Amino acid sequence: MADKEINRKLLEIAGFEGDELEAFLPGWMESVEIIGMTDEDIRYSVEEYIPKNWDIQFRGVRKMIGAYLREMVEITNTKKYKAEGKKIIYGILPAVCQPYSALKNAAGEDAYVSFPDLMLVTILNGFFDKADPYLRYAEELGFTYGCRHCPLNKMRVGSFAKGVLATPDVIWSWGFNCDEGPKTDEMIQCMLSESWKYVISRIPHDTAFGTPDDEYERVEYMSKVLKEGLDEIAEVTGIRPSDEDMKKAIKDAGRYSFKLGQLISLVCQSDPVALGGNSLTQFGQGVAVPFNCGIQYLEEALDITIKEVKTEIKNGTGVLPKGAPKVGSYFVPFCIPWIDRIFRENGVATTFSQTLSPSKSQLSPGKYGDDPYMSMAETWLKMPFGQNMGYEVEAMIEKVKANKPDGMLMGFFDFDRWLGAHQKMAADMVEKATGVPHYYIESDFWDDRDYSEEALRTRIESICQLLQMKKDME
Amino acid sequence: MAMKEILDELDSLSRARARELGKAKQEGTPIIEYTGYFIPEELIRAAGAETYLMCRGGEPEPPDAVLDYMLRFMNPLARSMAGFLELGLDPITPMSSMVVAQQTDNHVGRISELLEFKGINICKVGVPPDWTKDIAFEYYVESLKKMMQRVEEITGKKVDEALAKTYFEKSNKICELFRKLNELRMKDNPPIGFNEIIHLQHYSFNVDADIMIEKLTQLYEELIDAPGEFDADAPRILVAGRAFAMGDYIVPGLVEQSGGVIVAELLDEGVRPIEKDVALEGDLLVNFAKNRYLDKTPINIQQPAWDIRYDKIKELIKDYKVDGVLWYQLAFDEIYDMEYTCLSNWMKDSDTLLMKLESSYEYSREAMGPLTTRIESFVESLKEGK
Amino acid sequence: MLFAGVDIGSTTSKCVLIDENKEEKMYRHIMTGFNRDASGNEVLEMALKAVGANESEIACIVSTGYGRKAFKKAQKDIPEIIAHAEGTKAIVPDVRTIIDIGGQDSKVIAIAEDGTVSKFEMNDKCAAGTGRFFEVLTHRLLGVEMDELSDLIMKAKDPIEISSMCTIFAESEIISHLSQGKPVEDIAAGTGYSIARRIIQQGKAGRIPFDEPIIFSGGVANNEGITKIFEKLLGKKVTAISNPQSTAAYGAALRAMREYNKQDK
Repeated sequence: MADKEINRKLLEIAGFEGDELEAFLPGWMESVEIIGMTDEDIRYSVEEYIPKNWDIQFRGVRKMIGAYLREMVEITNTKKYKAEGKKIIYGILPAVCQPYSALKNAAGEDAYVSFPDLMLVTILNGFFDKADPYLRYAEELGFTYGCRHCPLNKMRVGSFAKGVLATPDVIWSWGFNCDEGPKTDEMIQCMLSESWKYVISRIPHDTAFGTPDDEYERVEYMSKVLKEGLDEIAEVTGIRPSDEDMKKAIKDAGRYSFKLGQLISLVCQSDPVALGGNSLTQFGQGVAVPFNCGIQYLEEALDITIKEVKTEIKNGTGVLPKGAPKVGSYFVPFCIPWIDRIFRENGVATTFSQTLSPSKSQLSPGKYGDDPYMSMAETWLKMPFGQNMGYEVEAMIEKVKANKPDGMLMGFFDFDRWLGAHQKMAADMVEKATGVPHYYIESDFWDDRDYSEEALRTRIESICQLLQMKKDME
Repeated sequence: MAMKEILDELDSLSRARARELGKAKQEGTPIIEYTGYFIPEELIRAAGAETYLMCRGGEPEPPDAVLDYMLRFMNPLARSMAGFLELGLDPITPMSSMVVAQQTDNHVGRISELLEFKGINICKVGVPPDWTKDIAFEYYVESLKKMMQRVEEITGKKVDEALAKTYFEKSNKICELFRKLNELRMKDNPPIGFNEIIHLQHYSFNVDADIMIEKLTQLYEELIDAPGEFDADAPRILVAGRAFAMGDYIVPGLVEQSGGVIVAELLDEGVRPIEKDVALEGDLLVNFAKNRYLDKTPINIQQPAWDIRYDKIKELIKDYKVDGVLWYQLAFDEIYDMEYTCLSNWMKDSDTLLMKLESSYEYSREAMGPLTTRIESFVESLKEGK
Repeated sequence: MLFAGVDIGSTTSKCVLIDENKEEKMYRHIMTGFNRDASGNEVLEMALKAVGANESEIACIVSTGYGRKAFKKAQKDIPEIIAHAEGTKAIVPDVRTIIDIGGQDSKVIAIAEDGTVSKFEMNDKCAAGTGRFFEVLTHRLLGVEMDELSDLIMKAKDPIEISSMCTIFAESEIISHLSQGKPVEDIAAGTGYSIARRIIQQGKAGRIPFDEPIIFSGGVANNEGITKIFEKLLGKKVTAISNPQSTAAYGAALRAMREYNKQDK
């Protein structure tokens, strides 16, 4: 019989209170059992892993953790939901969440819509350091270890093969800049279950260096791809978002994005730094990933955090002393939170993420207001993920100039042949344009089996020393 | 003329290609490189350029030469694209007016960006992987049209349609001759092996088409009644994977030295797609696009593809009486790794043995030991099974 | 009449002599030198001297191992996968899976019902999952001799997971655990789990079903603790073969006899 108390303590840390906590607890404990975590795992998380690695002094951060834990319960409920006749719709990163949010808006409680693999990696490694069993299982099934496959895809395969995930009615597999993601769904279909139905939506990376990716022709093609995708999903699931559903999704995403931008700006401008970069990037996921519970919990956490950060700034307090150097990153997002801690132990704060911080272009009003498909396509093509390196670098330079880090941390993307491949060149260009030093570490921010704390400590300490020295000279 | 003599002659002509291109450049003819068979080199030539297929590999230094700019975990063939240039061992790219790079997967995609980063004039042709959609095909066609516009700007000439048709006719003829040579490999003891075939394929990209047709015809006539080249009990092997690049000939050689014979192949790059000819009537660009995108076994990145490719493999196994399948995989080639997993799952109860061989183009003395062990063990197992 | 199997590996060279009844008359091993042909000669000489025989009494020599092609005296060479399979089958006729962990590589071999090799997986690009991994991490870091390792592993109450797949990073991890005062036996056992897991994963990724009987060979098979770890992880019986380092050489010797008999006919 699982220990109620330790799970209760965890939920308290995760911002649950009173009746809400008690109501959530039984479902949570069921979820823990399905995932295969023990009381020891929960205890480790409560007593060590979360307090050591997350800024839980902030209620907003605790609520953020809670928003994610809710998603874990939703994931483990997918089989139950399916049995109840609800539609199960998955997606994969990379994506923008509007089309998925629109599906969820249309279906409401009658559908589960999210990216379960990303959620599981984020939650299990971010808060429990417990994604390994699933990743290993996927490797046994055939994601050859030495080939450097993506942990998200391993998690999808591993969690499905272990019976955690229900077979979806459909998975909408965006390969806009990812080859392995959609191919994983083909692999699941070939190897594990013919019923694993997928719809793929892709666009080649064929824009010339530095040309805008969000020009009309491309946006138009993308909108057709999205519409075809949604049509296929509607055929399979019977769920067809109305224009109103889509407009609401766009509006919610826009509002969230704006608030996120606010928080990032506050944190990056603050001195002393008010909040750790790991929390910041976790909030960033709200622009790219649909939450089945809706954005409400994460947004509530974001609102609280903004207020708390403002208070910190007003009081002149922060997570590090005044004058501490700041480093931005390219992460999507932080599932290895101890990276932030090692930086902090060495007097350096991690702040914004290039991939999850909206650029000016992303925050400015879109050109295709009345056409939801064009609007969504434009949103996607403005995302740094899917852009040619030259165009992406323009936005990177803008964000470095706006957020003023003392250094940038690149790499940690060794499993990704798109987002990991160009970073050395991009770093070179951004460094030349901004004068901000960029440091590259070959590692993995989703899976730390190859790159333990001890292994990275020396590198991170060296970077921190350099940043401190530079700061002292200034 | 014996097979060896024909091959030697073609080898010599192929090696002379770089000099020929240098001379053509001096005379004012632009050189346009291209990276794969989704690019219609026939049309490019018909617009007045000389063309060159960028598909070199098989050496360990070029992939490493790009690591200052590139993630390590990209396949060595893609890295070689920029790596030879980086090492000063690429005589063609510096004199090219443009490199036309088919954007199929991320490996090629990001290496194209590395070339751009290095100041090379790259023209990207988008090849959407979701090939069963009409809009995807239209995208590819449109991308080809834009590419041809850029070619015409460089050459200052419009595509000569009659010339283009002639070039396609010749390419079709070359493909027909390869199909005929492949039929000879169905024999119990084939008169020609994969080592020769892959060399011939590579020569066909560099040697004048008329000469190539003449030599292939000669070769076919020479071999039609020729005795087999291999041991009577040589295990028959199908090789599948992304590519054997120009220069990557160690593994085919080792297989044959170990007593096996590679009788068939399913490769995605570095070879001519010979399944079907390009239609010669009507819009040649669209015909070409259909031929590459729709009318052949899909390449790995296309989706859906793997079950179709498995059907093709089964067909080849049957037609060529294959004893074993050698999956030739480049290091860090993630989607090929996944396809292998599916293939090994499907074939686990089959009588046909399957082995994966991974290559990072590392063929040092130390690396050759384990490589030879794997290949010899595979061939021995096949022999025992026979 | 004698038949010789000479296994010239990257770390050690082994020689097995058998007689016409396939009975093993002698086994010797040495460290492989930079000259593989010389190493083959040396170990062959040692084996012959030990039985009081000379080279003229050998009807056929077959070599195996990475240095097999360098050994000039061999009439034939066979890859070590095949040699392992032959040698193991001769001792355990119904073997279905062989796990071999050598100094610098590891192999998993699946044997079909008809006795032929149906699949194999090798790790030779990286030290993780090999005897080298073990040697470096336990011998060097824990200060434990290889022959003490088994008892140490068996004593472990709570094996500490070494999560790093790379030997270099695993080393850092172990140092960290040692500095935190974690029990040496738990760390040693954790290293064993790390190797075993890696090898099992390698095999499973290659679609090797680990059917029983499962035989464990190679130098690391001398370690009973590791055998037990494999059993625990596979949930199946794993048996360490006797003289686990000689299997490939034995298989080569059997092949020598087969080759000779073929010629004789």
